[in-house]
Amino acid sequence: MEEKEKTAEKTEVIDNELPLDKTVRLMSPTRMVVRRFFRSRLSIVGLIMVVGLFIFSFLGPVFYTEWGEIELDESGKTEYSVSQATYTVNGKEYTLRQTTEKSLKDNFLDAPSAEHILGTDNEGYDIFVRLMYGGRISLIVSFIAVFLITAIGVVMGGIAGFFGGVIDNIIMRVCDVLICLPGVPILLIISTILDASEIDAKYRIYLLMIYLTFISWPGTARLVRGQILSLREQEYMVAAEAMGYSVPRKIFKHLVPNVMPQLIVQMSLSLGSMILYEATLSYLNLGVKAPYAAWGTMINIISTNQDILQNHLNVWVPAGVCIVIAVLGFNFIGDGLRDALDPKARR
Amino acid sequence: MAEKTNAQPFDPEAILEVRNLRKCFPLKKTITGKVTSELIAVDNVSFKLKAGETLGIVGESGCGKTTLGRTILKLHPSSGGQIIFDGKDITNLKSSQMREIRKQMQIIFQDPYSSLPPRSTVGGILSEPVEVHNIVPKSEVKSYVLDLMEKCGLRDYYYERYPHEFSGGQRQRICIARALSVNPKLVICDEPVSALDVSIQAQIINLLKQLQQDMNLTYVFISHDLSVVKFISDKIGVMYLGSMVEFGTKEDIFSNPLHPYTKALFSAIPHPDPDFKMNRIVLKGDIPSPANPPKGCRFHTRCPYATDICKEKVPEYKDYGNGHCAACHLLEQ
Amino acid sequence: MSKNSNHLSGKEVREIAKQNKKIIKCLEAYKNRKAEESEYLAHMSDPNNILEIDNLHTYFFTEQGVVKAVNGVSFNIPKNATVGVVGESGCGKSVTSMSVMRLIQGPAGQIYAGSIRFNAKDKAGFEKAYDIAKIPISDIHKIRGDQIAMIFQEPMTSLNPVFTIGQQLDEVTFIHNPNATKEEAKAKSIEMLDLVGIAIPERVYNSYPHELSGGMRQRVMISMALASDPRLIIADEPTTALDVTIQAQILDLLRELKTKIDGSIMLITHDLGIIAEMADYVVVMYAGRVIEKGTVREIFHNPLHPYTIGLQKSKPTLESDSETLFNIPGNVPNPINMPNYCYFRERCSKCIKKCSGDYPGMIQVSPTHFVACHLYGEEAESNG
Repeated sequence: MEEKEKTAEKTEVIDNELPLDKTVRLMSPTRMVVRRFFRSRLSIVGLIMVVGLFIFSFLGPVFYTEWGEIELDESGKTEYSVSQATYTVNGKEYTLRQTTEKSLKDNFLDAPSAEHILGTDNEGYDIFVRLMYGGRISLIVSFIAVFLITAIGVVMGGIAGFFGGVIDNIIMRVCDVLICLPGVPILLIISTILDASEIDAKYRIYLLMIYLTFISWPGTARLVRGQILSLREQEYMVAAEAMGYSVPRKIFKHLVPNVMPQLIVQMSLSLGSMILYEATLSYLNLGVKAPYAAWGTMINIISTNQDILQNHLNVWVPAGVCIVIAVLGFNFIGDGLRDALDPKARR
Repeated sequence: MAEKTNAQPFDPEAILEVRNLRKCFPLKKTITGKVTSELIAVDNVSFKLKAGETLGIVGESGCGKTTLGRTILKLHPSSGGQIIFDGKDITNLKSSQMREIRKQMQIIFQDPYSSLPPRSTVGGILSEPVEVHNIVPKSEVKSYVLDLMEKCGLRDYYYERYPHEFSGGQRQRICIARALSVNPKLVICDEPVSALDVSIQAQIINLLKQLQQDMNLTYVFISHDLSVVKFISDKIGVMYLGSMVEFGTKEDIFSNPLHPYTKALFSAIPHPDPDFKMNRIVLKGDIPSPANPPKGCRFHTRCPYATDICKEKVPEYKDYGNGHCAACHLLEQ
Repeated sequence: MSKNSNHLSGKEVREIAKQNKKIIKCLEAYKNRKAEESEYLAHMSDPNNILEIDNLHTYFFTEQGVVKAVNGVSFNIPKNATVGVVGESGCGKSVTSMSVMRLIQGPAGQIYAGSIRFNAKDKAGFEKAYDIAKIPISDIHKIRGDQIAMIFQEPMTSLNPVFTIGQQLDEVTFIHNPNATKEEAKAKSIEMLDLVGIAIPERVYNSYPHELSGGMRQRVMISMALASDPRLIIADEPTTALDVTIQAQILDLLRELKTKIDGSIMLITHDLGIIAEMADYVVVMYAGRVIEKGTVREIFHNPLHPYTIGLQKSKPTLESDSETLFNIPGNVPNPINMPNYCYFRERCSKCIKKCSGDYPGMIQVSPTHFVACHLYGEEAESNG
């Protein structure tokens, strides 16, 4: 009784003030993630790089309509050549002059100018415009591939990790087999088959990306499985079990959201490697085929002519720079996200 | 053996009855899946618990008290024996059948940090079980949860906050609120206060006691601290290396401990008085590994009174009057 | 709306970060400077003390605000005495010990102000006082590990799992005495293991940490701390991770050692029972401040601060028979943005009008007994 009276008295004294824990304000988890992400300069640089590339490739062609992707510059200048011949007939000299008019069909290997910002390539296509279209292909293709890889990886890894036992064993052995497959040689074979079956050049790259997905999902599946295995032992998962939640609820409401941080990091890092993959394929002439543009094919031009490698840097360097920017950008973002979402994984 | 125990009728007064419960974890397996060596975490444990009572289970690390709690909840499958909850044998129920019973038996964990999902708000954590089990109509969920939070001593503006903003005691209150949100009959408290500060410990114990009266709960209170168990329990079981060495009412255990291990446990607790001089029984040596327990009486390696028979024969778990059971050769003589 | 008022806004977060950066830069530069020894020599106010902590402030500059983990702590450790520091988690007791060892993790954690005077012994055996808070980080090895040793809470993680116990113990001897031969080091290590009551020291010498039980590991940790003949041993919750029966063994050992070694012990724990058994002097901390200090008898028989009283009452004992436990309401406050009034006010059942005023100063009630509470001030009695 006495105790209660005392507390009543005491509350009167400090009633007009907020309790101590209400004066303490902390950051919400979202704010903390955003803050940690933007604290690192590299992730800001990465973000600028990637956003810049997106604007360049997707909005660029909308505003810069001077040239199309497969539009040749046919404003060829006319070249005049004069040939002279002197004949001596019966001691008298005759001079014969002949003017020939030759029209160049394409304006190829042009240096950068006001008309072609980065010049033209050996066929006469505008390099600047083709960079934009190449970027579209690269970005779309890598996003599709990463999306597929993640979707398959989460489902397979989730099932393996959650159920364990025989199912886990089967899925993981399939992963092992897929990881053992030599990727590039099989890619070459598939590409040859595609060549023979005469599939439209525009769609080949997507088929190859599906193949890439097929051999790349085990990485994500392993990541998800490992995470789920460790999360499953957490006490809040035991609590969820004790609550009698259904299996789908446990997997998708409790486990997967907690795997998301690692997953997002993995996705942004693999975006970079997919861009690299796409460029490699195109460079090896396995991906997008001429006349369609891709950064890889644009670099591939150097293989046709030694002269271009030495004297026409404007033809192949910009594509290379774009690839570097894209890959670096995605990796910077990935590292930044890792630090922001998963601070324990640092170092 | 199994048939014999099945034949016994269920005690209608007991809400929870455990008969000869065993739990083994496989340590080594052959390629064909045959278990060649195993760790016996819980060995032949039996007890009865009436509704509204609290059973305190005391023991040191590795004695199997946590495993016992989780096996009763069927979070691990048991390896033998029977669990009878509310007049129903739940030992062999499938997980889909268990789901309905789950809401009647809940658990509170030791570590209030890892037992709350980090990415949900307090409101989300507490309303999820209410929604899943349809405890109240959808429109009343929020008011129900706020009511529950008040009961557990949580302020209403915590609803929007995340677990990481709270101290251990507040988190433990959230855990308690979550366990009670489904109106359970039995709550297993797995060391709920050992991660907390002294002043907070007292709060949580008092809260648990208060809630027990209000909601007619039955507790199995697992702890390594005898003095904490004393405050909340009606009956106490002392475990050592997987088996129950002594079991009885609180009064019996505290006024007349039978087993030498119980006596040693009592004397090991530091006394908060600088002038208090106690004849302490300091047990020699370490707790043996549960994977390789000693032969005979498991306590004989550390027991100050061990004789030759203790090294050979496992003592029988006997009733020494009034439900006060113990397993020790010294008592049989 | 409610979300906004509960959490920090982006603008506030940036503001905090800006201020932190400035202060941290300044403190880090001070920590990493080069300095002559004369710059951090100090003078003990009482030559019988081994350690004098004077108005120590250790802050953590976090993204969410400044955490004043240790906020003006002062106490002394006399020679050959055991001083128990008791308090709940987050009260700053561990941070105090880490500050003495200069193990505060920068750049966020910094000793902001105050001095830690340590009565060191130089090679010739003369006493020489240093101010640990002023020593540049490059010179700290003169004291850390050599004159002050530490026993940690987690015996599982504080031993390196890839080396044998012997290798780790020998290393301590070599650091202390670089001229020792291998045989001498081994002999010394085995002697140390024997001292902490390990039955077969030769076998433990050759085993790896994972082969030992928790109690054994803690014994090894204690022997490691003793190997360099320290003048001060800081034991940070040495028995918290152990079982009660093992804890009893370790406490017995520490009590025995206290008579054998020539040094002081700073024992940090949350368990009043351990303090009562082990300590000569007690320092009670709450939310980064010392609220009461005195001899062990004064604290246990005549506690003055409502928090100390409440702490003792809320500890369940085997003897008490009451139905409900006494408890202190409320929670330990979060140490960000502390107001300038008694931090315990919210939880206190003996509040008086004066408590809404400034933070109470230390009031001396006996030559050794101090308390920080308005109830015992001279003015309080007249106003009261």
